[in-house]
Amino acid sequence: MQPIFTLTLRALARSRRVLVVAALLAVPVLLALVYVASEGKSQGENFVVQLFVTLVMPILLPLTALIFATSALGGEVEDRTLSYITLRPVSRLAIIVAKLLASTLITTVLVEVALIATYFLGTQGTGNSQNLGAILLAGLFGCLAYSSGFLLLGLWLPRRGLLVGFLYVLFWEGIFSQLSTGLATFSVRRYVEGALNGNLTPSALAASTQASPAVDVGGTASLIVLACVLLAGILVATWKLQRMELP
Amino acid sequence: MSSDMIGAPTAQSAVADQKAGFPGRLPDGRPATIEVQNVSKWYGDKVAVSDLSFALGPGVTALLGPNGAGKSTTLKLLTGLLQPSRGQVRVLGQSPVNNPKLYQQMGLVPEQEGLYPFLSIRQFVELAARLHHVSNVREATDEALRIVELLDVADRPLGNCSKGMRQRAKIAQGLVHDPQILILDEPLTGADPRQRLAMMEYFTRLGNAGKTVLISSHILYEVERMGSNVLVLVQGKLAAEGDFHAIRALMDDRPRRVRVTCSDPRSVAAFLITVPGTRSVHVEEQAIIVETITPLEFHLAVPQAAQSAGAHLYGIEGLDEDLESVFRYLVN
Repeated sequence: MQPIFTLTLRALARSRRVLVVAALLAVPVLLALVYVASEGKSQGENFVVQLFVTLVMPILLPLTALIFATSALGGEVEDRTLSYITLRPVSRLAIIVAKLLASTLITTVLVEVALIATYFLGTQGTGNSQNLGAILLAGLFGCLAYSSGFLLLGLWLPRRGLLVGFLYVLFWEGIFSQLSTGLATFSVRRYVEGALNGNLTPSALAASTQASPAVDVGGTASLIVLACVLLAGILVATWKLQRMELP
Repeated sequence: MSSDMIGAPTAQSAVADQKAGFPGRLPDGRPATIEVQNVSKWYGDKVAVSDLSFALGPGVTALLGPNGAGKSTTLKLLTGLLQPSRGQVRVLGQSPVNNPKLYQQMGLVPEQEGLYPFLSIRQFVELAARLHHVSNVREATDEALRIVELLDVADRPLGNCSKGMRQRAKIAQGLVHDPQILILDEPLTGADPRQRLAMMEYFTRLGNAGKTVLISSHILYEVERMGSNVLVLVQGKLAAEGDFHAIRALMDDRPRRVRVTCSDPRSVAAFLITVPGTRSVHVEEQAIIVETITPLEFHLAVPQAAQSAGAHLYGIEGLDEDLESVFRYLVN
């Protein structure tokens, strides 16, 4: 599993995708700087929480996961290199887990670094570490769940996975899931937000629910749902890879 | 990982194999290492291969056929990259579909160009060695690179390699774990003549050492150098199987062409045309080209004809006993 993990990490890290994602993730950092410059640091922590809820969680985090996870396997199908991995005495589950770990690692590192930078710039070092922990934990579980789903998408639709995923993020996670609680039930965003809210301090929680309608899922339940999404993605991707033909 | 996740053969599948006639045997009684029974593969209404059945054992076998005959599809069916629409494939007695453990004993050199451009040649071969759990990765990699003559340039990135070098790197990754079965799809593309010769000799040695080597190629003289066992595919169907000399011998309905070189071709030709079985005689400056359906009798009659004509006989040479003639005949 380790050679596939390393191979995938190298392939993802050397691509232009890293620059695109870094540019995307610089947006909240710059916004935090602009906020502090204009408003001071008094409400900085609340601003950072709201940035996470309105920009990072519904758009930037899933887009980052999409860009890396769809190419972790889909790129190999497209480049016709997948047989150099599948024609080895390595179980399909191990291949999927290695690919997922690599794409999640690079996604998580980039997202969490951006979140930490945003947090410290926005709060000027005066924030509550509990809130930073809540943001990072929700970000981690969000990265895992989205990466798992998008890895499967890349395997299923190697050519159109990126486009389909982009439309999903934009319309489903970004717009439709906000229209009603019923629709939100089927979005990953709801549970990332639940994981965040469940661990925030009361004042940060108020800022979060002000920016986005309150979710009725507790923090632990949200983490369990995200873990289930992760597991389901792994199992379905393994099943797909076992039955997949490489013409 | 659990054994069901890696598709290990079960007792039930063993019983099913026995009912289906697996494991099969070769005509000489040895167990087959690769068996294909009534295999068809289609995509929608397009048939790629149709009702293929053959069994192979140790040694070099060439898979021949014109473009689009189904060679690559057949090789992918043998490696489990494709699943048969109908029929069964067994490699070393096991189905290659969803059976990663089997790849410990198989090596594949695929036709496609795609490689990892950011890996060096050595890293690419080492990747294969590690995934095959080779005990001494460095040593096995060096040996594979030495065989394909890439040891001196092993640190060059694949993205900066010539087509011939990339092709040889693909061969190295296919044999780094010393597989029992080696399947190669057009492996010598881009190699220079000396490297081709060296690789052909190596594949022949592998075959002689008891490995099963199945090699797809469209360069017939290469195939001829590596052995005489062939599978000929035409339009997705198996047109011929076995030793190509024997296949040629079975083509009784097709006249053999023989060149007779002698001092007085015109006079000798007058005698040769009377030999039973002769179909046509064409006289050239120093030779006669004869088509005959009884080559053995014809060869015996030639010296007598030369003597009767008072001519000196310099040589008798069969013109279409080679693989290319057999192949051309089968494909047409």
